[in-house]
Amino acid sequence: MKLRALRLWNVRKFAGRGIAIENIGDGVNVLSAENEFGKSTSFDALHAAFFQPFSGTPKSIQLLRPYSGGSPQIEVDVETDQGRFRISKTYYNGKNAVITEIATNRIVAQADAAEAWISNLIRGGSTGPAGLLWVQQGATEIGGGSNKEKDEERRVREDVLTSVTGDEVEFLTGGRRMLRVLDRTNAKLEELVTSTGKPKTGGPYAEALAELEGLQQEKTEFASRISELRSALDTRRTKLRRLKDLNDPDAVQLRLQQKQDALVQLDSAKEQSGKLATAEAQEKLADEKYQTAKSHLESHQLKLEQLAKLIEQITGGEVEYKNAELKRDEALGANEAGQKALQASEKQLIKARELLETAKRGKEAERAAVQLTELKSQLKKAEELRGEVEKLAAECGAFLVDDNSVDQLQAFERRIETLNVMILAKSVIVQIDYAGSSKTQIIHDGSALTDGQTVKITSETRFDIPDIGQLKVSSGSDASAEELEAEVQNVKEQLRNGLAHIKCASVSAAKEQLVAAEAKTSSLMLKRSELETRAPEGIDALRQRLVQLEALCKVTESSKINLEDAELELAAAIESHRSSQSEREIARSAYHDAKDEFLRQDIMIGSVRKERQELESALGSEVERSEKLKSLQSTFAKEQEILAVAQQATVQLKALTPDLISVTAAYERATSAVDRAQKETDVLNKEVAELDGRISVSSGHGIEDVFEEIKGRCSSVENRVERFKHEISALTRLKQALEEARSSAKERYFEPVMAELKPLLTLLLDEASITFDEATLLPKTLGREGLDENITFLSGGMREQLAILTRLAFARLLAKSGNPVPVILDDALVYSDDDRIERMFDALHRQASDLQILVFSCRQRAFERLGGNGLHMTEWKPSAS
Amino acid sequence: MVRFIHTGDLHLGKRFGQFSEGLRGRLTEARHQSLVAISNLARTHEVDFILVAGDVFDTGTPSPSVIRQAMQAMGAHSETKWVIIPGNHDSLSADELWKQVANDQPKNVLLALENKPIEIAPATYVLPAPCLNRRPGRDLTEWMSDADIELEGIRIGLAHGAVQSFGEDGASEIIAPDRAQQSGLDYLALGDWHGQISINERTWYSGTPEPDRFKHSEPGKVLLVEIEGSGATPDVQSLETGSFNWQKKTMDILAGEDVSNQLEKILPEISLRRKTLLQIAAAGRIRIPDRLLLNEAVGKIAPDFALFEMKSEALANAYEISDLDTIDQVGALRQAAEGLMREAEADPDPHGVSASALSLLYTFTAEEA
Repeated sequence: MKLRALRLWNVRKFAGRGIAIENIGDGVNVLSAENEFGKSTSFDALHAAFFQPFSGTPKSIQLLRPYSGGSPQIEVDVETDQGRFRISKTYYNGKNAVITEIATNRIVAQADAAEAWISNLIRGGSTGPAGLLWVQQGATEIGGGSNKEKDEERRVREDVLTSVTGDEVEFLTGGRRMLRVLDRTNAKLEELVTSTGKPKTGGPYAEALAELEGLQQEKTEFASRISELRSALDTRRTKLRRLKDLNDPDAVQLRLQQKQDALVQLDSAKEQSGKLATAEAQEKLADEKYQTAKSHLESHQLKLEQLAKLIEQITGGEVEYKNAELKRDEALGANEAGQKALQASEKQLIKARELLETAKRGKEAERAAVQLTELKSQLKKAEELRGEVEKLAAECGAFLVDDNSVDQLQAFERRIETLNVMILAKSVIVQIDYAGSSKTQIIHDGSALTDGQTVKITSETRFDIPDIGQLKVSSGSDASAEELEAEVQNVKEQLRNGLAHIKCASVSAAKEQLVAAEAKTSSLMLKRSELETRAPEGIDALRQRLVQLEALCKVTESSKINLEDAELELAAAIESHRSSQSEREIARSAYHDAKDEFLRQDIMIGSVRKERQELESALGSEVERSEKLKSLQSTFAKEQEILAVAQQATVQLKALTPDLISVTAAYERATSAVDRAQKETDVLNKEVAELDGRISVSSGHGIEDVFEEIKGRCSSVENRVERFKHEISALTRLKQALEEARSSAKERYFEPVMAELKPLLTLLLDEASITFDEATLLPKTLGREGLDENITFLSGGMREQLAILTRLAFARLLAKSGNPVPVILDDALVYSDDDRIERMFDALHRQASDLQILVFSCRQRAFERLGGNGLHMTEWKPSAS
Repeated sequence: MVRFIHTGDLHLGKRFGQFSEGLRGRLTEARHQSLVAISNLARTHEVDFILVAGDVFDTGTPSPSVIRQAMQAMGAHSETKWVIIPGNHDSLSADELWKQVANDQPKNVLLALENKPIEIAPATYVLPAPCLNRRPGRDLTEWMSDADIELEGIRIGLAHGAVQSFGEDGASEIIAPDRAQQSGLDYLALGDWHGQISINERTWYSGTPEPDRFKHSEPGKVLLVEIEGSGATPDVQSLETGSFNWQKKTMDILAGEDVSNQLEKILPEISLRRKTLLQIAAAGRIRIPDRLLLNEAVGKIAPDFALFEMKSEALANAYEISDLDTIDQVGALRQAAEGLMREAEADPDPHGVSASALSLLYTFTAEEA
């Protein structure tokens, strides 16, 4: 269907008059006019023609009636595959609906038949097929209206999609059945696990897991208790076995018997040991006595032997004594002779030394005489030089001039010259030469200067020049000529004083004197140097040396001995003295040795004699000695015999006595075995009693039976848990399979509308995707930059644009299915900005190739750019019928 | 002539933790009641004594009430003698147990705790081989050859353990299978194997009087033994005692078979079910709808039984594309179902996640329908 014209009469503001919009073309048609022009009225009238039956006067029809009343009339020319038709409707009085074929002017249908004809034409709700026809001001959604309308519109959309895909959505997606199965699957799954796959608290799976955990814990506890019980039973069995062994009567009897036997052995050993100890004491006593007797005897025998030896020593010693005495006396004589010879040689030596000294003094006097002659000459020369030096020194001292004084004088001279130059420079003279015609006179010091007059300038001088001004003239120095002159006189006075001081007439004379003084001083220096060479230590030193030499010369006068002879004689005397000394030392040493030997012999023989005397005194007489020897020998023999008897007795007893330590150890071992057995028995009884208690407590409640029961329950719950796990996996897999299949079916179903919508979306947004709601068959989410947004959360502008694009997509599908409908936009795109509106215009034109689009807008400027076929309202009056 | 009952493996006090609480109590009580049953049989058949070949108790540490009540049940008829030996479950190493038993022991109960012949009746000797501990590591009956007893007496061995590697509790201590012949025994009463079995004409396992597992799949029994005299071949007769019936059945399913009907065929009659523990091992291939039918059938009959277990590890799914029509013929549900079926077919585990997911989908959609 396409609209070709709209006419209305007596509608709203057009009371008693009418307007027409003719020549509505294919593609985009634009009616752009300011508000109150009648656009909305036209739009509402058009809507009523299609959707409000002629017989009714609902609110929307009431609003079409002018205040003045009357019957609104509406005419719409439409073009369908069957040709061009006119829909004419009149509301209120004369209400009617007529369909006329324009070409033939044939009435096709009237009244209700006409409404049915219209209904068949538009199909669906109050907004046309699939809600496409009408887009009112600010429409931000499609699929609005009442539930009934929504259902109808949905059905149309479904018809469109079904007619395009060839399958119904219900078939493809499984529809409500699929949803119920999915719900069932989810419900089953939710009974067991949460959305994140964790066991759901309070659910059977969580309960099974909790039960299993509890049972496993119980199982572990019981296993541990059973293990403890078994261990306790084993331990008790071992201990009881040990107790049985320990308390075996034979074993007990054996231990006691062994202890008794060991005790008897010990007592016997102790008695025997006593006896042995007594015998050993007796043996020891006998041995002591024997040793004493033996010692006494040996001591006596030793003394006798000593005495015999002493007597023998005394006899031999006396001979030795005599010999030593003789040797001592001989050595004494030799010593004395040596002493005398030594003294003689000493005298000879002294004499030889004196002689040599005399010879040496003679020799020195000779040398002094020679030196004396030389010294005298030297002294004389020195004294001459000293005279010259003194003379020259006196001459030098006579000169008053020196370097400094000459320098100073020269400086004075130079200063005087300088000052004179300065004085000369001070003498500036100014001369006045007037021009011949000049009547001006220069005034100086109050008087006019005449032509050719000069003025000497010594200080700053002023010249007044009438009509011109003042001329100041001054010399170059600050000092005046008088001051300089005074200084010249002063310096000259100083120069005169300086010359007078050195007694010179002029400075050049002073310079000459200075040259002469320097020559004299040079001579003086030479002479002094020579004098120092002649008498380095001074003339007085030379004189002292002269006195010494004269004394030496005097001594030599008395002695004339040959020095070499004296030296030979001294050497012989020294040799002789040395020999005498040596001999004397030998003799003296021999004497001392002989004297010492004699003294030694004397002491020794004295000592031996004293010893013999003491020994003899101690031993008594010969008879006494002999008797004592016999007595001692007898005692010794007796004690020896007693000792032998005692030793034999001890040996016999030792052989009979057992080792007491071993016997004691054996007894202690037997005793400890009995004690240990008793202690072990006590400990074991205590331990067994403790174990009895533990075992009785542990085994008293049938713990192994309970354990077996828990194991069985555990295994049963494990199976249950495994079944739940399997069920969860199966449900999860089923859910996934169902969702995948459904999603895939949906994609297939919505493919045609997506194909239409995609290029339109691309015009609006760079990268975007749309998902459709299976129930409403309308856009559900918009995907941008990887994010899916629910349509209802988008901005008003975006929702409005999507609503229009979706309509355009469905309208295109309708057109393709051979049932084209116009799309009418009444002040749509109010929320769209300039950029977006341009893009929407592009979208409208893109779809307009096989669609008719009517745009009503009050935004004249904005919609100028839309282009398309401009529509105009013209006056119209229905033909009288 | 001597007549006696041979039993063993009573496992008194066993708790059956893997089962529900109610069943646990019933099974435990049934074990105790087996003592009463044996005692009644003894009186009925006028036996001289009862031999218990070990494992009177399930563990070495039963609760005092289990011991006390067992002794009281044995002592209830003082004219019937009981001879009991420790088995591997209640071996001599559980000395606290045997101390307690000795305390509570009635006069007609003889504890055979040593390798020492007991003259139980004139010229009739019981040669006990009590288990020293859980794994003795040797043939405890060897001593029977050296037993110093009169040659003309009847010699009855009483022991607990395996004559071959049964795998019962991993037993490896082998009793010589010809022990009776080797040691000149007229009869060797053995315990440990819970099923009743004859090793030779003189050597028997009595089996347990009250079954405790599916392994043997037979009712509880004891043996009534009669020996005319020394050297005579014993006359052995089996008597039933058990109250609970542990049954293990198999169900081989072919794809497309009527599973409900097949199941019905192997079920015991309704009056027996309350005391039946039934374990069905299903094998073969089954289509998804049939599996649901089977599950439904099992759900219906399971409450009849003391325990009903369906083991379907060996029952693989047979996938038919037409089965998926129940889910949906076209559309997303169908697409999901086909995807899961392809996965399940490729999965070597017939009970993998995809197979289960498909079964769930089938169930949900079937219930929807």
